[in-house]
Amino acid sequence: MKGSGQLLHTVHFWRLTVICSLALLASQLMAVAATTNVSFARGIAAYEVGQFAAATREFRNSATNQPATGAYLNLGLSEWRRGRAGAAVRAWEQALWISPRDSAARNSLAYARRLMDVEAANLRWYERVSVWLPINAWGWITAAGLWLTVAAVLLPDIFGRRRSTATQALAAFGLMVLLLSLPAQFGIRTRQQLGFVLQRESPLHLTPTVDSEVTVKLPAGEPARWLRTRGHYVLVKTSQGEGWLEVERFGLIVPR
Amino acid sequence: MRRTLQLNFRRAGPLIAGSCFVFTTTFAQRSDPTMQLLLSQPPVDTDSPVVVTAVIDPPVVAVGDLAVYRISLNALEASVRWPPELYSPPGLTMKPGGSGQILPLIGNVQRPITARNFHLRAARPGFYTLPAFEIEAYGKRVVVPEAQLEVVGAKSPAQEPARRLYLRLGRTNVFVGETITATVLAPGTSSNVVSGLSQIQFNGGGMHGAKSPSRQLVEPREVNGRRVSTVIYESSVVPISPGNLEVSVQGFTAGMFFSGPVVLQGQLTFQGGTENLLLDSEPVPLQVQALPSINEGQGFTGFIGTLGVDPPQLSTNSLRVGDAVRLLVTIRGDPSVGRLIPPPAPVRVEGWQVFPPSPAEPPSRPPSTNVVVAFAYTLIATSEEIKHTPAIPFHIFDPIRAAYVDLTIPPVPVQASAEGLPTNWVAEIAALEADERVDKRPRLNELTHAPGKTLASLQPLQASPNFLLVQFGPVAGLLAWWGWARRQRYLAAHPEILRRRHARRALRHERRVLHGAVARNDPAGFARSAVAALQIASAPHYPAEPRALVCGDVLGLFDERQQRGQTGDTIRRVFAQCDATDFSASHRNGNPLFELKVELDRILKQMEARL
Repeated sequence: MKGSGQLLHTVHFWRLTVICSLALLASQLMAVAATTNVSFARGIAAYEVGQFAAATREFRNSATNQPATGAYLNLGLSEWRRGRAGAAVRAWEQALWISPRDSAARNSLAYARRLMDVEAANLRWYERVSVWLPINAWGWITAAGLWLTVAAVLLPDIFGRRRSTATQALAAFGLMVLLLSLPAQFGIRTRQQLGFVLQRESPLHLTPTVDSEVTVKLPAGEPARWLRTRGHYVLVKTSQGEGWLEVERFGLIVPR
Repeated sequence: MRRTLQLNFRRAGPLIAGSCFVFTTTFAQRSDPTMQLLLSQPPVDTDSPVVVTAVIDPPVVAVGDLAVYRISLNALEASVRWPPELYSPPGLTMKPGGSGQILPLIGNVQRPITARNFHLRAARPGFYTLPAFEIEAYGKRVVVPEAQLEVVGAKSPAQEPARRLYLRLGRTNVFVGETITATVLAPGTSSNVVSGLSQIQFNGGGMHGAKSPSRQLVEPREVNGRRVSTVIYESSVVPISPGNLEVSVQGFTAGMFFSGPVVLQGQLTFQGGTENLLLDSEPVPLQVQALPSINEGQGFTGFIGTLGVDPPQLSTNSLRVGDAVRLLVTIRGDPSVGRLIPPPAPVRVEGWQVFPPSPAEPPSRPPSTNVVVAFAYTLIATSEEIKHTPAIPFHIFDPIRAAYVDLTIPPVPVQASAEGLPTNWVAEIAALEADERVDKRPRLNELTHAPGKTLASLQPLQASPNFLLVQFGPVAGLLAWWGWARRQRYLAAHPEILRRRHARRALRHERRVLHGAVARNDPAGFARSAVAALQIASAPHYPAEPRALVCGDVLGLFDERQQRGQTGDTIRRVFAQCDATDFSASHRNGNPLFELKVELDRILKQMEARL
């Protein structure tokens, strides 16, 4: 009797611990969501009275807590109204990163690029493929392909049954899905190195030093690929050549 | 026709100036009008020795008054390399002023003059010397001579102040895009000697200055406490980014030359000669605010200022469906109304097709100081049910009230009829209207009030180690399950593997018991364990139950020579001892077989190796 009572006590203790942990986790998530919503609402209020600097701060705060298309769209608008076209382009690109088919972000980018006479990033074929679906969808598609292939190959063997035509077709289909999703995965990986020049007339240096020769001055919003970082400079590849930009003049779509 | 062009650059750097190169062309190029025009331009003098002058204007100033340190040289601006900072003696503050280049025509060549100004103010009286220093022009080092400034406690009334420009802005607290009147004053000397201005340029980031004057005049004006003849240059600047800006102006003196018409008043004398001094003003602070947001469909086209809209005039109020009518809109206001972009035509209006506006001649009115512009919209009625023209949304921003002003062009009453149209005109018009006429130009999105689609992080899910673990962990488990199932099937098909494995395990156990019996000096236990070990090691070879095997079965596993040798003897003795121990009372305490332990171990090892 004493042993069973102790067992019951232990089970009760663990159940209580799990419930408390879940409640704590839920409260943390709700707190983050509440902070995000408050920042978003404050940003809208500030924007509507023309306080674009405050609106930018609030929308950035909201997007940092919870990346969302709406927050990035509004952040881009606020930056645009402040005359910071490079930061606006980056924010709209981040909105497209979350939702590649967002028409508002696409329109704003096209509008800004037309005005600033800046080209969009030149995507490679696998990067264009990766834009067809949201980034996380590709992750689940690859996982589903892997699971389907492994299950269709192994389960008949595990249960001692003959592989039927259907299971073989299923395995082939899973493998096809898996293989077709791999270029998109690679595209997502390389697109993470895409960034934009944040300030206008940003000098592209030949070497990562203050006094180095400036090969060209890049306009705000110019796309560039990150190659590596050294000290206060990043080596980027642009349509106008390779060179070093100061760190604060360059912003990646997905910050490192 | 083969064309050849050879460019000879006298200097590589001066190419920027645009006219410092000499062309030698073939005969074919001489017939090219563009080439003829280029060849007819006077060359730029880049061969003369570079002479640098450095003066302080005026050479004597009172404490706290402004003196201008002017450096000029006859070289192209692009070829000059200046030191990053100039030395200024203690007690003297030096701030950079204007800098520029002018190419006056002297004789038949253009002689470049590059000038740079610095503003000096002294905190205490004394003699200050700005030492000589070196600069680089056309790749060669030239010396800027030293200059001296005397600072006195009080200024003499007869002393001429520094020659400089004064900038007056119409407003200094403005909005982005607002046109600000900028008046540049260049006061003459006390004896009313004035000089024209050229290459007027507004300096400062975040703003755009007009390139040409709206008005130039020379009249007596009180500037800095002195009433002298003053050259007044009126123009405008437009801030293009919000924030606290600073605007200054610079220009070169041009003697009696003016770019454009000029109004002269009062007694004055124009400065003779062709001296080109760089004059500049001190920066004027400008506070620029961003415009508040407004929805795109409200017809705001960027105009900031005040204006009025006259009642619109329609070419006819009685119209037929399908006929085009002209809606004339007249707008009047300050001079900046000339830059007004008319409000766009509504994209879709029930019963109307509206075309974009075009500039039109304003109707004649009594003369007024206001600038008048007019635009005409072409409208086509597509329904006989319309009663008035559509209202055209139009907003401007009033900087004084800091608010948008609704100047929507009001509707004009009309009467429409379908007289004389074919019987199926309604269907045809509907088909025309169904045709997409939506403006497909990209537009800036409006403020979004919903957060929209969210992510936990901008980092892709598949880049997270947890995601990879979640995906590959179960796959690894499945693979392990598959391997285990295959092994089970293999063992089911090959039971001898299990028998041998069990035999090895049991043999190891029995050997431990055997050693225990030796340690306990238990000959009976030793004999039983030895027999059991031999039976266990032999059983998988038949296969058979170990306890069912007898001595002959065990010996059968060895060859003839071993059976007759020590191995066979040991096995037989062990079995015999065991039988005697179990079944004979006389041998219960017989000779122990402990001396066979070594040999028995060897036999058991040999048998274990065969398992």
